[in-house]
Amino acid sequence: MRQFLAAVPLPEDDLHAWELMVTEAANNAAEYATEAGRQLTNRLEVFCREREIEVRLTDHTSGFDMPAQAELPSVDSEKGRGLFLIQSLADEVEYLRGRAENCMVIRKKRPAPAAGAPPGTTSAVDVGSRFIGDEQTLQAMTEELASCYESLSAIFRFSSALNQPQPTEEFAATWMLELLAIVEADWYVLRLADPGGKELRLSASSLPGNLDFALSLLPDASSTGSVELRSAQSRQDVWFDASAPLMLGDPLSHLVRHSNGLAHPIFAEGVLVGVLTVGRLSTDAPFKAGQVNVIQTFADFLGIQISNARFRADHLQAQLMARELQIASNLQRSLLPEKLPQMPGFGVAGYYHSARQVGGDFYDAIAVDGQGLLLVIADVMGKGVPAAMFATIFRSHLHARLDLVKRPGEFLTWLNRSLFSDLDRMEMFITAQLVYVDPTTRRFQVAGAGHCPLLMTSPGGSPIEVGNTGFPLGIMFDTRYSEEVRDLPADARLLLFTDGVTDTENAGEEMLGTEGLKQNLQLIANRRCNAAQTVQEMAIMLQTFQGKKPATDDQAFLALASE
Amino acid sequence: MKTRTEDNTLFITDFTELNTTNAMWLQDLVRQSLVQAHKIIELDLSKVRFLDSNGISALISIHKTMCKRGGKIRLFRPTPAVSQVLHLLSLNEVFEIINP
Repeated sequence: MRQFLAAVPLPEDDLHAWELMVTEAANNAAEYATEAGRQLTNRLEVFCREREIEVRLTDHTSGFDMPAQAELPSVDSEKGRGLFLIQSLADEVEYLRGRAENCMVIRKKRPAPAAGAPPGTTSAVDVGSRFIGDEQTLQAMTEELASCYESLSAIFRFSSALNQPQPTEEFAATWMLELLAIVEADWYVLRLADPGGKELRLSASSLPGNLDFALSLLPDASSTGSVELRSAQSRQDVWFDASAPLMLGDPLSHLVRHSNGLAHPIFAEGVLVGVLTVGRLSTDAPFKAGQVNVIQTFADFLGIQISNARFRADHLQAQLMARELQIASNLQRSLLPEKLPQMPGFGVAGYYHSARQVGGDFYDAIAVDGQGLLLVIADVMGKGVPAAMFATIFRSHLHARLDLVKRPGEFLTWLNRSLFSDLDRMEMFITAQLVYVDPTTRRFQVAGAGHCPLLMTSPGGSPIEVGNTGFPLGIMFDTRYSEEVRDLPADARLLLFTDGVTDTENAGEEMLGTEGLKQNLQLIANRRCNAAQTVQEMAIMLQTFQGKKPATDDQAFLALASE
Repeated sequence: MKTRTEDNTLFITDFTELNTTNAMWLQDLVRQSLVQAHKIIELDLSKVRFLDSNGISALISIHKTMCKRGGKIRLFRPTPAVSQVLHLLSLNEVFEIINP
């Protein structure tokens, strides 16, 4: 760079200042590069303008907030003088922070031209002529400058077009036609990688033939000799011309056999987003360096746009998902009964806590004939909208056959058959427990479908597990569920719960477990708490147990207790 | 880089730049060469055409080492380029500079 600037020419003081500024900037870029950034190349660009020199250096660090004027560190400090030096020597320093890379822009005025020399005689083209001093090179550099200008103005046009949302494919096609005109190319093929990075799919092409097939990017895919694939796999430009023609196996060779050009991989933040192949229909008129530069610049810019467009699409998708979840969550909450029916001598209360926005836990209590009561607890396996949907379906089925409430086993058998095809298709299942309580006979009947047994206890007693359990609903079409009949003592407490309760973990990642739940239930029963108090005490116990650790599963329980 | 000792002074000579490439090296050289009798380190900067902040760090580190043992660091005939950097960083007052 010193040599290049010496040819501008610049006096020794300025040369030294530039050497020092660039060294300091480069040292910082290297020293503070991120782990991933160490693999990447930093770009140094020098712009010689009539009245100033501008240098841009990209870095892959996590960036910093540049102070208006860096402070000089204390005399003893061995660090922190680089930025101070740059700011002292330059006329202007800017630090542009980007998502993929940052850029430091340093500007310094050129000394006034010596007396006698006409102003503005030292253009970049002039630099070239002094540097190389060759007519032909001068011509090439002029062309390069012209195409750079074209390229820049096209980029500006497209940047403004980006404010109006339009489909990426259409955008890319327009963009590419512009490119063909600028670099005097005859054809292009643009393929984009699918979001999973498994294959390259055709996005746009100027060739008449059929190229609308995907090229597999998987490592074990058979090589077709495709320049596009080779460029994607090597992550480098792959050239083709008379000395290295398109291979016979290359899909492009059927359409443009005698061509020269290059396949250029497009990256956005280090990830392959596609491959752009551009060619001329002859083997003896290769692209000039400037034109190649334009192709690469266009492709890289396109990569950024594609990545931005995908980001926007993902963002929109996430918003839709959040809205959907909100609806499902409202739906699910509406399923839970606002007020539970009571019956003579016994009270019923329920508790539900959802770990995420939507869960599949469900409870209900249905009064039968003004005296009996059906207690229901269920857990739809899975989360989110499908779980909430099945909870809804389960509830509507439940309320459709209230004639079956006094025979919970038969009720489960019927529910399984009715829901089986839907559950099976969605590969979901439901665990459920139905309990019919008859206050006149002081008995209850339990039937379970893969659900954890309920707990029964009395003050001064110890909890026992009740409820034989068959397959969950949705596993086997022919399952027949049996029921168990038990006496219900006058001071009995029943606790129906989902496994989210026993699976509750504390900060030490210990689970509450069935034993833990039993102990707590007994303590509460010994205090002769009624149903509402039991639920309240259990909820406090659960929250105390889990502390600040967020619940990973829904927690639901239903308590029946003598009043 | 070469070193030689005269009386209580360690002379370090024969280098043309002091930057990332040799700043650590200079510090190592000082660590290895310094003996109890050395009270002064004199660096010959008359041929140094480039000094960057890493070079400065090394100078300050040596300066601190010498201060601790009641000694000092002396810079012999810094070139204009080096003087400019020292001046910009207000270090021309910190180091003893010899310009015969």
